[in-house]
Amino acid sequence: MIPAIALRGVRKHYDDFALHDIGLALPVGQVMGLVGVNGAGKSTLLRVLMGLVRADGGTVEVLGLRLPQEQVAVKRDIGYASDDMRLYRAQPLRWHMDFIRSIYPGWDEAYAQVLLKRFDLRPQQVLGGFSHGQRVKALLLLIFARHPRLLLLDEPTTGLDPVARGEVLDALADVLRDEERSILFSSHNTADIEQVADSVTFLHDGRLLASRDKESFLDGWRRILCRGERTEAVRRLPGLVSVRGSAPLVELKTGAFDASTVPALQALGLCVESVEPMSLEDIFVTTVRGEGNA
Amino acid sequence: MNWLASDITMVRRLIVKDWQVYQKQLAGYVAGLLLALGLVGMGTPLLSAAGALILLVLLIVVGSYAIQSSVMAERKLQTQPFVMSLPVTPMDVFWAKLLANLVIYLVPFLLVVGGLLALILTTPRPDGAVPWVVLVAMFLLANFCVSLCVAIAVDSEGWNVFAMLALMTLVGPFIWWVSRLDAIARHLRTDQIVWSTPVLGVLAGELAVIVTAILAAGWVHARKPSFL
Repeated sequence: MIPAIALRGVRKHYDDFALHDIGLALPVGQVMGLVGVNGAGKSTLLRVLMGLVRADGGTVEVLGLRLPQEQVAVKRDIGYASDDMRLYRAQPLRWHMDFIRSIYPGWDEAYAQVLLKRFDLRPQQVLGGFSHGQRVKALLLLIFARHPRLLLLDEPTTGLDPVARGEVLDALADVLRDEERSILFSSHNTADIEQVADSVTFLHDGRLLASRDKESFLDGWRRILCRGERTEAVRRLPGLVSVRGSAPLVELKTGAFDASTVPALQALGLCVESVEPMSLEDIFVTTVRGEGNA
Repeated sequence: MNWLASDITMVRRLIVKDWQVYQKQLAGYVAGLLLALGLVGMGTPLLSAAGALILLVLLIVVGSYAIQSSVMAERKLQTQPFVMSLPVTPMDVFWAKLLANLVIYLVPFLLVVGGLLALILTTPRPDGAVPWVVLVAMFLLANFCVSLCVAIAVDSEGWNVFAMLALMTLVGPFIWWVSRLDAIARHLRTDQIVWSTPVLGVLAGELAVIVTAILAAGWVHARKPSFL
């Protein structure tokens, strides 16, 4: 099956930042969460996928079509929303809805009305009077009501209060009931990604650090508390990313946990006190800090 | 590189969108221009001079306003990513912006120029002023087109404002120069409308500037690495 997104060796260079050799695939029907600190390259990557920024090299295929050559056909099936995208302040939401409806034949007015109610938006109100949360919801309404096959969402929940965030995530969950729809979304909030995503991609300093399905990510990472010495042999254990603490307590974080991990530690003279799963946020922070801690 | 728009229907929709966004403000300018035209038509030298000055100023202001609000503000207020996320190519957006602004500007422009020509031709005023009006009007149109093309091609707000102000300062010297051009001055107070070679030459030069500005802006726009 043709993936929703296929990037190969994508590069983009700016004076103070660069995306390096990004290779990524998002299967149809999947939700991928893009995690990274500010300036990691998440927005640039999404802009490349949307044709807003031209890559310096590599190939970009979206829904089986090459960008930027076939961007018109691709954009018909993409819904893109970003934190720095604004609608026309002096125009009411209804005007925006009519404008989008005139462009996309798949506009679903009944669903738009459902979203208006769910998001508690007034169609006759001008966008200039909307709060940040209302603006985000208005933008998502304009996207969701035309049923795009691929959603590219750049920080869709940033700056939203918990209620608005819940509404947006619920609406996303609705979108996901259609198995043909795919979503790539970036967020600082790893809890959102943990809640919605099927797979997770870590981006840092313009480089792709890791990209795996969420379950194997979470299954592979463990925080292990041990008693014993922090020897060189311990540090060389495969998959070990962080070793902290001082004797007699040692905290290890590994991204390659399996049935052999605990026996291997015991064989090195460590007494394993506890093995705990890690949150996505902890995994991300540990990955970014990298092997320097090991 | 493809210079043409990929989808004429989308270009038309974007033009209508810009027209709808700016039509209220435009109506205000048109009302002001009609008032100034009325002053010119009063016939007394003082009111005519005041009306002509207001017409000139309003035509320059309406052009600057259109460029600032539909091109520069779209970048500053971040509505450009919204437009670029629609099923369009960069050249679709280029042609739509160019044509939308031309339409927005041509409404008051044609009203003023048509009104002035009608005043000259239907009243005892000397008809020989027609080439002068046409040359000055075309200069203002060329001035607007160059400002617009710079605004579309160059993302820097500073350079856009500089270009606009620099071009505005040329209006006065151009009117002074063209009023003293022998081919114009000789017939300015007569009833003869003379399209002499120098007059047609200046007109051709103005048209060439407009075409060159559009081609240069299109060339730059098509090569832009980013549309944010």
